[in-house]
Amino acid sequence: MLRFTKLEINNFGPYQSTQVIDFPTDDGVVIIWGYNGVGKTTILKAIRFALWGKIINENNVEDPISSYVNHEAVQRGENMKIVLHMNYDNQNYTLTRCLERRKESSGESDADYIFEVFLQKEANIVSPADRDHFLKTAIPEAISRFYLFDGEILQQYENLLKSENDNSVIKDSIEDILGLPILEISQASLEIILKEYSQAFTKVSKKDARTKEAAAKLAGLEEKDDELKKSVDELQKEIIKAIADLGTVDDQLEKTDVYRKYTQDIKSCEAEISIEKEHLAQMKESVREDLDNLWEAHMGAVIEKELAAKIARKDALSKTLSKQTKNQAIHEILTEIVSDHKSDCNCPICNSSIDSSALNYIKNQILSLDSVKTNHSIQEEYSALEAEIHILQNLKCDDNTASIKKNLNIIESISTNIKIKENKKHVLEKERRNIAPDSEENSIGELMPEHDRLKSLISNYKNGIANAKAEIDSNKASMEKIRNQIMKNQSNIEIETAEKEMETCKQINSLFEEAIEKFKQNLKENVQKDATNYFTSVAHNSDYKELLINEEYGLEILTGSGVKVPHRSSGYVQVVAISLIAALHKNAPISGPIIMDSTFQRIDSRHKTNILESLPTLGKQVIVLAYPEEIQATTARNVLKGKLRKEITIEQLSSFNSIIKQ
Amino acid sequence: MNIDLESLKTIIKNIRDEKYPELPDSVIDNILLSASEHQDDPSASLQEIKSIVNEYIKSK
Repeated sequence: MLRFTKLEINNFGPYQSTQVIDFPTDDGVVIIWGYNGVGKTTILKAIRFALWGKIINENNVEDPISSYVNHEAVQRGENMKIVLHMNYDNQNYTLTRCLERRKESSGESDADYIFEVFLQKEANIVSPADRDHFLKTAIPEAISRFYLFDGEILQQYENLLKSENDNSVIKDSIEDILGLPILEISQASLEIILKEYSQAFTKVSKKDARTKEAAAKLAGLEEKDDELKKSVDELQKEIIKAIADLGTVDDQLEKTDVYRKYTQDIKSCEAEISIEKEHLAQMKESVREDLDNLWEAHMGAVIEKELAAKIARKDALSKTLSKQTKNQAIHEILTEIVSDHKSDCNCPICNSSIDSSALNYIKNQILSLDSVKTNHSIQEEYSALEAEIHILQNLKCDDNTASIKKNLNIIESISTNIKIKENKKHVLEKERRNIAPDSEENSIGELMPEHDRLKSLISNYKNGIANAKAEIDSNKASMEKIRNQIMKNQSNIEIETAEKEMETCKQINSLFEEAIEKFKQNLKENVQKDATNYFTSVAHNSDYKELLINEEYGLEILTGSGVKVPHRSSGYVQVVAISLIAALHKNAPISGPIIMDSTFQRIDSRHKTNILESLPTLGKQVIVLAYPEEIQATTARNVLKGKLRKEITIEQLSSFNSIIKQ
Repeated sequence: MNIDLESLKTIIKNIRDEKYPELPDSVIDNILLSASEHQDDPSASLQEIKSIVNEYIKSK
């Protein structure tokens, strides 16, 4: 049993410095929550990279590892490292893979890094040979699809139902996880040993005059058998090569589209940056103008104060001048009364009688008014103040400090936007560079015929293998006849012994050949039965009674009336795929962690609940990567209860800086 | 890959009992063990299995 105990991610994908996940040692489920783009799938890729030193994309083509080094770490010239701590058969292992940046390199291609890998068993570093053996056997890469998978991989199982597809990769993986290789390795060795015993029989038969001629024919047929088997091997190698080439062409086809998309995104980015830069220039000009007039803003307060003082002084002078004018008018009236009347008289305003005592009083008043003489200097000061106030009011200006501050903030914001967009553009350019450089020239018009040619080639190779195998069977029957003929005609103890030895070896070989067929048959029956049990326990359609397995391990849904369900929904495709995986794990002779990335997104809430509930039965350590809307956290907690061992959250601080909160 | 060899042995021995009763358990067990131990090294597996088969045949 293999169990992950801890994962350390350093400068990988969106993770900067070292981020750590401690996995619980108890059996159960761990959920790692994170919104799209924060780095959930990166965790899956980090584990893939740690275990197998490479990251294969959906078209079976390797991604450059350098493209996973954290963007900002590349700029800082830092290295990248993944450390995976594991427990395997009760012993602790620490697997470290790192990329060390070569001096004076840009860090943008794999050639810019030195790749290193170490495996520590308990306290000791193991030899490279033992390390490679461990990595090939703990979770062989060939069966990784059943341990670390996402929604896209689940969709691929649907292809197992289409006979026109080449499903050999998936089919071989299924047979690998179920333990078939042990029998196949044994039988392949026995086949070679049997050939040696057959050749020994032919050799001794050639020595006997009575069997010499038949033995010569037999030798010829053995040579033919060799050639036919070699041609089958060659054709199988050609198929593997053609499948790989097809993967590359499919990848190119996809990348051509992706390349165009990147180019379009980069152009949009450049256009946005250009607009932002223009806006920035305008704002800078505006601030420059404001700064030119900033002295006025500083003088504003002084002018304001001076103006207020002068206005107050002017108001005071205005009152004095007004009083002087009023006194002048009274003086004139009183003087008129006194000058016209030396004795009693009447008032020229109200016609009241004025006696001599009142007249004397008026004269005294005139004398007192005479003492308040008109001050011409006040009038002059008043006029001067009016002029000064007018000048100061013209000088008075608004305080633009607040406006400058506001504009400086806008400039800062635009600069940040430009930086973000330039970073985004840089990342897009880097990602575009990771696509084959000739992608731009590749057109669908050129790639599609190559795609079709390779498909046809694979089909021809398969036919060639089928024909060669038929000929091998026919040749084998001919050899058997000749051997019988030799045995009839011979009376040689050496031939008899060789024949007995050959027959014993043939028995052992046949035993293993038949065991392989029986093993496959048993597995299919068990996988079908266990997949059906799982499926019917999670499926909500009561008419879906059974899953039916085909030769390629594809699973059809059968209704109660025995009808195969055509065109099932994408949600059911995933439910069936998870049923297949559940059945494979139940029948697999090895046990290891299962990591599921965004595998619930096409499944409705009722099925989600059922699948969540079944997770602890899939494996002893199940790690689910999900975004919050994909699974309701409360549902997961209620359904899994104590089997939900830990929840971990990924938080994004920026595009190139996510953190893991345990 | 830690394969549970017992399930493989059971399948083989059931066929053996029915069709090849002369073949001993030890040959089957040793061949499976060798193939299991040398999953990542077929030539080592071939040499060991050859030795097991030769020894058995010579012992008959």
